[in-house]
Amino acid sequence: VLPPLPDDVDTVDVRLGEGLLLGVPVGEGALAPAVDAPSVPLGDGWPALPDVATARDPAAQVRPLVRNVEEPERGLRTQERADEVAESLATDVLFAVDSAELDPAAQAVLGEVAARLRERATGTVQVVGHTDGTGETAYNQQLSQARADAVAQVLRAAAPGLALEASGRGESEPVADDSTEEGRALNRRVTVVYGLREDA
Amino acid sequence: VRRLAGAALALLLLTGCSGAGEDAPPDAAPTSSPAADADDLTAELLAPEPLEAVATTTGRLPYGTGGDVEVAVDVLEVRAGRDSTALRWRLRSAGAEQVDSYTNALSRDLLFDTRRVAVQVDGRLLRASTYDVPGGLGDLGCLCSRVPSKVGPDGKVLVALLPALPATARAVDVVVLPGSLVVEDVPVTRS
Repeated sequence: VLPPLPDDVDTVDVRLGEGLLLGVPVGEGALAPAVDAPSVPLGDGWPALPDVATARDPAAQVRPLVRNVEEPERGLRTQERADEVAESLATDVLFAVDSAELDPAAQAVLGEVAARLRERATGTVQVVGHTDGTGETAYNQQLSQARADAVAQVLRAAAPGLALEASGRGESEPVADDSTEEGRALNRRVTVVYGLREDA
Repeated sequence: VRRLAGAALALLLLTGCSGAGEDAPPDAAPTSSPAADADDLTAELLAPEPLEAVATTTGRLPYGTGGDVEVAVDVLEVRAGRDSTALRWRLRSAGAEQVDSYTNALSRDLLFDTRRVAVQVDGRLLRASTYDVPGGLGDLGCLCSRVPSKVGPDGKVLVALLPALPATARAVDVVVLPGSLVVEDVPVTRS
């Protein structure tokens, strides 16, 4: 038993065990029996039906989908939900080691981020700096804040009218194994998080 | 949804809407028949697993602390839909013996799924779609298979649902493990 679908949905993609089906049409009305068998008394079937309170609360059974796309050469990783986007920019592409001064090459990447903000963003945009775990915690905190400030300054100029808040989280929120070079590179990032406009 | 556990796990991904031309991403592939026949789709789901690989590679899969095992990757299908891409592939031992394959190298945070498997096209990596779990724990759920603990020469079929391919994509690279297990120039089929 699944929550009701929105009225305007006419096809869905279905995962059933290890099977994937794309573009399955949505029908209307009661389901027709697929087999000639006596009905199963309520509560005796498998899997068990959810309790009434759960069944009446679609949010209890709906999981927000996250689409994951990366552009490795540009140092960009995007996670897109229905109402929010998080774009993580590798600081190896934006800054020199231990620096909060933007490389010239960073301008092109940030220009494209700003264009997407102008086109799609609503609400307050969060610009959050992160480092890997190398070095002192206090220094990493300071560096991540300075890098977030530098990115936010460029985005403010390129996307006027949008509210931006910059913050630094230092090494406190790794997204990958910090014991490997690959993991540390993923952890060194500035993430731009913004809400999606309804027309985006 | 997770109440429908095990083999009956079903996930509906809201994809097509009436007037979908307005909602579909500009580079999403149009389907030739978005309202496919339900009986055909049921037959497709219940059909035997495809055994024919459209492309294959072999390489080393990390295992344990610093070790690795020789495995083969067969790509069975990269199917482009309007809003998603379905990847079916098989992980098997490259030799006659069963090998340990319970690695986290295809995932993160000790989740032991296959979320890092990707389709590469136009310089972009489309990775398995994930989903948020309750409790503010983030996207611990994955629309992808868990990594098998062991594989033999017959292997294990695995799946992943990825973001939509560009409409112009005719062939892609399937990246199971960068630099080690990459299947190049895999033809794309379309729903």
